Amino acid sequence: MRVREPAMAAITAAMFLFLTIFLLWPLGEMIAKSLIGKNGLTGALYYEAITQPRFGNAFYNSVCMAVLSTITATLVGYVFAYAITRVNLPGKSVFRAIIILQLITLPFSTGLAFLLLFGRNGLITSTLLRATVDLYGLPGLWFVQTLSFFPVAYLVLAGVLRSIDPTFEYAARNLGAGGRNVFVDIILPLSIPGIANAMLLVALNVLADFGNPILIGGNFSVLATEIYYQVAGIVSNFGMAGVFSIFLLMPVVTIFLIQKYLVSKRLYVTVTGAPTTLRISPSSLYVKWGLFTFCTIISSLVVLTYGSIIVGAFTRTWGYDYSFSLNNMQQIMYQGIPTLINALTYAIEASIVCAFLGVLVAYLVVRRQAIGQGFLDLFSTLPSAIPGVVLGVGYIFAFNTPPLAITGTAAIIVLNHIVRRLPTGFQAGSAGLRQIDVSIEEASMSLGASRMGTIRRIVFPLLKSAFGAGFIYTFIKSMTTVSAAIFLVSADTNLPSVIILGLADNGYPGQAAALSIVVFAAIIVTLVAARLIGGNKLKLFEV
Amino acid sequence: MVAAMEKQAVYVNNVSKRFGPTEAVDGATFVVEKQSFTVILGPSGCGKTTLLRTIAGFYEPDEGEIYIDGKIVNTEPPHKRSTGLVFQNYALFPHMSVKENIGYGLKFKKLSKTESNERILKVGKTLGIENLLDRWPSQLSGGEQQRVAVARALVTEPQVLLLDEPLSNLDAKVRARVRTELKRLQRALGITAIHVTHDQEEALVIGDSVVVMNKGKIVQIGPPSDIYYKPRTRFVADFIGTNNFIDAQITKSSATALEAQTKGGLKLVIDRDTDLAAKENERVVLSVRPESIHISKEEPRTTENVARGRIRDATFLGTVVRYYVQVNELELIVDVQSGDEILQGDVYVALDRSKLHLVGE
Repeated sequence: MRVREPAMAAITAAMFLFLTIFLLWPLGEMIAKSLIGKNGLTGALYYEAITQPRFGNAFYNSVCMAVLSTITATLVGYVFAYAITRVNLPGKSVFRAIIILQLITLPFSTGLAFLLLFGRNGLITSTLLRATVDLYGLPGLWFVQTLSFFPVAYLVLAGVLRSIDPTFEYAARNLGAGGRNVFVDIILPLSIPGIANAMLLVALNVLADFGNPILIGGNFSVLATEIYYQVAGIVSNFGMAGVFSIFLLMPVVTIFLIQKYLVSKRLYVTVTGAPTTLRISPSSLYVKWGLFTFCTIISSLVVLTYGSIIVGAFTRTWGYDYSFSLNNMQQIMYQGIPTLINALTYAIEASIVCAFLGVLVAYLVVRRQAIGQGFLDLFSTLPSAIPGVVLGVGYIFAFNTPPLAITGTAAIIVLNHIVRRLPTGFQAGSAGLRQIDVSIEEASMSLGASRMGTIRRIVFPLLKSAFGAGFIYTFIKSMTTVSAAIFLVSADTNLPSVIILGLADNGYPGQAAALSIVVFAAIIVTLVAARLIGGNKLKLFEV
Repeated sequence: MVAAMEKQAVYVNNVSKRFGPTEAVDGATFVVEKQSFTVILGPSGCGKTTLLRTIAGFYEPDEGEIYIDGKIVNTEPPHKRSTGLVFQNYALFPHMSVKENIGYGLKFKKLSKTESNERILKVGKTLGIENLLDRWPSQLSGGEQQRVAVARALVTEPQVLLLDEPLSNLDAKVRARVRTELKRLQRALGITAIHVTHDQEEALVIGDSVVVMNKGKIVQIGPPSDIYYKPRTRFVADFIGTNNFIDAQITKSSATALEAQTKGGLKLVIDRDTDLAAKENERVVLSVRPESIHISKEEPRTTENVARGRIRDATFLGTVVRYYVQVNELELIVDVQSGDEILQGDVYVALDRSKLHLVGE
């Protein structure tokens, strides 16, 4: 076995300590709370939960919603990915922009827009159609989550479709296959591992989603919202919240492990030699314009989402008086601006630390420098699978009491951001690192630099753009997250995303829309600033 | 004329293909006779692969016509042309077994299952891969993958087999073996093949006819021996093998022979073998292969094209010894069958008048 350097060992140990305190302990504490009653170890809470119809409903609803939304979101994502990567379509950049928009705005924007358009006082349902239909619950949620999460599927599937060697298609055509055969015999079978991966990722996101079900779930409760009500309801029942969390964690962690296995296994070995550059072969006009129409309809729905939010922000009283007004903007100024500064401060702090840790952990794992690197890899990617609600509850359990009583502080929010986004930083770091040949580092060390010196002088400078990517992704997610933060904010450390959700849920959709726009503007300004500082090296969203 | 047409498997007439401003193929014209092995040879980026793909139907020519079996196919899509293409990376479908790969093209032929299986087995036997039919592409060696790719292209019995550098992913020893096999297979089955390569040795070994391309243009077409001994241009002479170039001035020009004088005053007599115009006093370039120059310690009997030189360096290359001989102001490369002794010092140099050759720029 190779001799490990003490510096590397120390960093590894520090990383494990950090993850133990801020990831494993909260989860462990939650399991403990769910199992320990007045008289010691007991399964009483679990029994109570399982026999409650409320629990059964939530569990069934979660599964139902996840299955339906995953299928449709993956389907839409696949159509977009196919259209953008393999067909000469007009307006590709618009479709790409739509996808980016969905990825960088508040995760419940679509839910908010749904409320504005199809809600009880919705523009379309109530004002235009004067209908009393109720689209809350499963139908609305299904629709909203499909629209919210198809970009997640798209990102995976576009990558997969791009990596399919175009000579396969050319070979099939040469052997007599027409366009339909090429798709059915070649492209579709080769994208199946990617489709599986995309479905698992979407399912993780849908199960963990909290904002949309709160807003438009109505009586349709899911596990994520039930956990919240157990804590924030009239009578809080922490133990029961723990039990519900465990039940949400079980499918989610299973999916996560399957997904990780699929990715590591790389189902199909591509049998190729020299790379080839072939252009997209023309598809039939029916296919082309069919895909174009489909993408246009979906994109229009997204445009409608943001259009209604913009209009809603500047409308006097949504549902009754649609005249132009700055009322909403004025209303949110008092409460909104200080929280915006909170959000920006926490997000920037968390993003810097997270991007740095991400690169560091990636180095330890990819270059095989850590003891127990398998665990380090697992624990650093695990937070991506843990629903924010669950980790939020876990933080309350762990940090409400000494030795580390930090609830109500800014620190707990920043730390939660860091832990939840560590997988993002890690991914950016390892992607960047895999592009650097090890021999560059070996050259540095053979010339007399130490391992740490090499990391500082060679690896970090080369990973600037990976660091930038990690920073940007973490920043956006930290600015828009609501599910964990909702448990952790206090009066002084409130966040706009939490306020927006509250406003929308309590019948002030106009103000919610107004504050959403302010948050979005703040994100854009920061991204532009990052671009100006980082220059063109900052490649964002290669979609 | 009709008889000539019937012998043509492929006729490429003045074909051009542009990608934006770059002229990938520029006015290519050549004929591929039935049952012949034609090699398109050229450096990377010369347009040879584009030309092959245009024949296969993946690109439509901007100008000119392509005929396959006497019929114009310019607008035919690839799956309607009777061409079998073997890709440089083989492009074996990774999710299909060897048998499914080979049988894929038969799916579109509306054959009965038994007939399909018979044809798969037959082509498998021909290529010696009948025992690999149940394997997956990832379980095969490079050479085996290559055979499967050829089998897949042949099973539909195309009018012409197109090979896009199919040997470039094999290591040197396997490559040498496989190219001989490929040639034998083509002869045995009596198929027409067009093979693209940048390897000049491969082209000379395998081709009945060699089409040399440079910068999108065809610069010479001919049998391998012509390409080797009678290159039309300096590019061809330089690209294929090692060559000596001699700058000279024509002193006398007749229908059958030329006389020229080199810079250092060496007089050379040359058999006239090209249609290149060579007027008196014109400056020309002569080429001669290293093995077409003889050196000896003893004075040769004739005095024609003989000069005195001094060996500056000698390298042992196995079958031959390569000498670098200084003759006046010229440095000539001379290859001599290797024997026991390696010559040194002053020698006589004799150039074969029939192997001295005038090349154009």
